[in-house]
Amino acid sequence: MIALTTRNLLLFIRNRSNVLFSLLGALIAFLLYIVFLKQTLEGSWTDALQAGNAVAALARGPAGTSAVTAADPVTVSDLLDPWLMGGILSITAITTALAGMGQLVYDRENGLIDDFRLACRSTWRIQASYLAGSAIISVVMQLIVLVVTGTYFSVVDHVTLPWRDVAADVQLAGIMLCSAVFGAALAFALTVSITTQRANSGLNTVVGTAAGFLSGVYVPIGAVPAGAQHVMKLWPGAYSAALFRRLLLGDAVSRAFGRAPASVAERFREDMGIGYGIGGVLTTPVQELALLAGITVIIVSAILLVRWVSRHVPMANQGRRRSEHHLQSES
Amino acid sequence: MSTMVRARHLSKWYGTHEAVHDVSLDIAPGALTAVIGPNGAGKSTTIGMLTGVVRPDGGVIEYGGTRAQPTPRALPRSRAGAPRLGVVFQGSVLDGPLTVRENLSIRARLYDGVPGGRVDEVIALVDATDFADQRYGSLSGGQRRRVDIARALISHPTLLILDEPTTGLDIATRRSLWTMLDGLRRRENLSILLTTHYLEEANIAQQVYLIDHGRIHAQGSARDLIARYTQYTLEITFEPNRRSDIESMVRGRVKHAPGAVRRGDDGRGGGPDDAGDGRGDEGARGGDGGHGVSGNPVVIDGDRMHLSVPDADACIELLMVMRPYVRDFRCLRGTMNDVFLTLTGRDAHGASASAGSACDGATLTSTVPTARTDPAAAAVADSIITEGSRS
Repeated sequence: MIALTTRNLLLFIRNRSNVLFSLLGALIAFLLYIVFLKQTLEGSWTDALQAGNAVAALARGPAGTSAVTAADPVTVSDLLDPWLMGGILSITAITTALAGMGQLVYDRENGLIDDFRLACRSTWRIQASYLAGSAIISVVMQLIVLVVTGTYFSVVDHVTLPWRDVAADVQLAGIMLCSAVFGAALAFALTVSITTQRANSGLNTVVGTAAGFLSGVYVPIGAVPAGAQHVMKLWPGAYSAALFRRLLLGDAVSRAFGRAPASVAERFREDMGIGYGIGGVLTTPVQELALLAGITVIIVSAILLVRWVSRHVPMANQGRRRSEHHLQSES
Repeated sequence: MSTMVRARHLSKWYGTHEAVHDVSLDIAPGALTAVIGPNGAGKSTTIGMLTGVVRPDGGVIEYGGTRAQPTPRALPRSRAGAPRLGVVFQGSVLDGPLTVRENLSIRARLYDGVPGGRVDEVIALVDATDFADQRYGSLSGGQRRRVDIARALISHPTLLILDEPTTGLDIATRRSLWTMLDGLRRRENLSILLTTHYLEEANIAQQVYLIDHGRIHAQGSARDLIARYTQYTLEITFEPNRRSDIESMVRGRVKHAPGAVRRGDDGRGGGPDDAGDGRGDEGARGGDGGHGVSGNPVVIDGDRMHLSVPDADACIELLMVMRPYVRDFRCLRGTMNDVFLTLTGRDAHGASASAGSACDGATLTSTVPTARTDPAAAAVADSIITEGSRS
């Protein structure tokens, strides 16, 4: 299995367009944000921010007296840039996992799976190598995106991210790993019926675009109608986005709206997808992790079950059509 | 074990199309067996069934005496007595962006218990050492085939199966591949089964199966098949002014029948269980109404004459008889294409029999014999043509 995983990784890396193509979803979201999305969002939150900052300044007392040393005023960038990063990481996790899974489609189409089966009897080991390869690619790409966007925002917008906090770093690594693993599982399930490169291309495009919307990156969840919100809450990526956002923002939200009524901060969180309103209460990180895992498992199981049923339950007119390449069909 | 693989009555349907019908094969150890037929004949499907990639709809396959399920899930492992299979597919299954060595190392690690040096060994076996560190995608077609074969050799197979290994390669590359395969067969005692649509590859095989439209039409060595199903073509260039002598010699022999070479009046063709001993039955020659060439046209075209003769001796006798008139001659043995033509009525490359082989169509007009004709010679020639060699 390690041999095949190595092979999948080598093949992914040596194909430049693979790498670029997999980041397309994240890249587009990033560009859209810089070009106009940020300004659009700013408009909604500037007033609330200013009010919050004014209150904080008041609390500091008149110039010269020092009551409490307040933190520097929180800018819009401090709020929105990490928020975007969180969303982009969520998108990257699934789109790069899907891109990595493209090797499975190619191998299936060209009979390589048959070749592997001749050597290695266990289908599970072969499948696991695609999952592992996909997950590794996803983690590495997420890291790259994190570093690139983090550097950009630090330099351009002077945003400070909680790098120094080791606990946060560990948690961040953990979420990246989870997103990668569940992303790979989801990618595997989505790819299970894809037999040609063209179809795979289509799938990647659809998922890349959908991920941006469903994670609430292009349009925050607060800005869409209730029906759409329900759909978004069914998307595993929404929860990984929430987890990322919360971590990357650190205490920025609290500081920004600390002196404003608590409901303002709550509303910000709910509208921007840092926690989702389920049963009237915002989700906690643990709940989000559970939802990420649970929903992924449900979707994957459902897809695999439907596939198993269609294959093994005899239908009318099956007759001679059952004789397909029986090895290929099981990978 | 006397047979490595025995297949009986294999059949396969794709929808309503019967790709393979009642195919039975025996793969003998230490030999090169070739399954030959035109495109679409069912070769790849048959091979697929033998390697376990395609599920047969009927029939049984035994590997080294162990009966496999009709739907073998994967290749038989080295159970006692069962052969270990190595398979080279028609398309390439190796990765272009990886080097030869990387490709082979990865494949080697897929197997259990392959020692570390095996990759270098197989690279040497196929003479690929010079380009072992080049990317597979950058190699020529012939080089890629060698690496494909190396891949199949990693697991020390006892039976190597190749599906159209030489398709798309030029003749020089094909020859070097044949030499390499034969060398492997002899040095490593490797049994080989290959499919091909190049009829001349029958000559490198010890056992040939001719397949067309999903059915086996003949089996045997190339030599056997040629002897059994074809005749010699004798082409004589004669002195231009002796044309009428020649014509009268062969007067009465001309038929307008299409050029079907028949073995005998009973019209027997060949089949997989044909136990015929070879060419025309010697005993029948004596007077059963004429075997051999009785149905074949003699074509006279300008100063050349083509006709079919059953064997080399008949050829020599005819030439001796016609010696005064012969300026030049050619005696051509039958080819595998002729075998194919005999068995299926079609040229292996798609043309049907009536579309014209070189000897089609008669041009002789009968003439009154002139005084210059030697009646004795004519009689001898006549009888030779009719009945074959006397000796």
